[in-house]
Amino acid sequence: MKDDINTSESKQWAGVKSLLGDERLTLGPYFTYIARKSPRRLLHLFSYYKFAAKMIGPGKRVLEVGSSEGFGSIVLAEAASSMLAIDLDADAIAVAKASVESEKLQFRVADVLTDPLGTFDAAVSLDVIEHIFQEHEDAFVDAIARSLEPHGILILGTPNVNADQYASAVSREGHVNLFSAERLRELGLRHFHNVFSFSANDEMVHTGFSPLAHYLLAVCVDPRRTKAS
Amino acid sequence: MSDVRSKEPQYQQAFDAYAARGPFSLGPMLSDTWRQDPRRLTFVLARYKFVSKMLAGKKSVLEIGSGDGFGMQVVLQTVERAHGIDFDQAFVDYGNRVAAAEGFAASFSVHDITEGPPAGTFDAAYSLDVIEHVEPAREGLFLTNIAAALTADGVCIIGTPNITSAPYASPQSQEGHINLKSAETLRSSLEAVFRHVFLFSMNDEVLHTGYFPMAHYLLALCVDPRRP
Repeated sequence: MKDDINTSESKQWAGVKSLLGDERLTLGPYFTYIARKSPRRLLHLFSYYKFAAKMIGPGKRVLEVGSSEGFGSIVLAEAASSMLAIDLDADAIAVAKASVESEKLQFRVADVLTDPLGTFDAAVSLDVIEHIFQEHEDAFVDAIARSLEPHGILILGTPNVNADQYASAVSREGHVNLFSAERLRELGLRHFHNVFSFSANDEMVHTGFSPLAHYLLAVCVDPRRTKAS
Repeated sequence: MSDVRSKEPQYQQAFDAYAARGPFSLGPMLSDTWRQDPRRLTFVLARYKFVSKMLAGKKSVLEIGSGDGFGMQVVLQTVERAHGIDFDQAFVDYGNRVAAAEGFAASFSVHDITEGPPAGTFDAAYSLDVIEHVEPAREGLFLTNIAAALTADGVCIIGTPNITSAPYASPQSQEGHINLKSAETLRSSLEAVFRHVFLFSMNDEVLHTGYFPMAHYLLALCVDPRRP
């Protein structure tokens, strides 16, 4: 403080600063890598979370499947009444617990296919389904659908298969099951009565020509629950 | 076959079709829009385009307040068939005439939705620029009668100007708008009738989910009618 340049503006700013508190968030390796390698990607990623949060609306019990270190989860938790975020990656969950966990936003190392998680109004899974082998994709979506209320909603987000040619080597390494808009919609419709398809390019979510969408978002409503559990 | 020869062969088809079928009419509503404020045509049709994207694959769709039926043609690109209701016989006659002449999978009938649900069951419905003209006391009937025409997991899209845009509306628009909504009041009206309400905004032709008080137009995607 004593080293601040002393002007009437700096005094005014010091007043603003005093209102902000002195807390810090630390990024884990996943988000640090993105921030260092391609910080713009954080904007895309957060915009998908923001879209999901807007679709879910306020006051809902939310499940996130594949939260990684949880920095996107905080966007979903803002309007939620409660939220559970899970990931198979124990290191990522440890980062989330140490940095952004709160009474409202809980993190757990868990597998949606096998672990009992409770019942939720809405679920979100961004950038996960493309890492699930195609032979497991139906079991994955079905397991999420089963954790929802009878009229629950699921928001799935994944890169468009057509954008794969432009993806980084690290991204491509993990993408074992990329989707077109049609295939994502068909997957959703096998497990939900209604699927609404959106596209995103940069931070802009839209309903334009899907083959040129960089990212795909499917809002799935009303689990079918036709198969026996 | 047209007497006109296009310089580039890919355009000949357009001249031939024009010679064979004649010009396509915008109809009374959008012809008037085009002459008075051409830009308005693009954002009005963008609303129908959003409907066509959201309702893609639906089999039977109801439009409430279909007017002369022009906007429905955009929706017909992605749905199997559509039926429009309007309380104005002149619009209904025009819509049926065009649908027959052009071979659209569309029909129109005179019906006031506040008097009761229309005949038939639909897997989706939409109503653009209508709810703001409905007397507030009859809005409940308007919505529950739409919901009653839908299947159990039916979808309904309601579009209406944001109340915050009213100060910039033309005098004739302002005249008829007796039931304008904010995002909050639209949501609460619709949540009484549907389990899910997903709210979108439009400024110009751009659909988004941004801060609602600055939205020009509101679009609510409603799913699952609540049964009484």
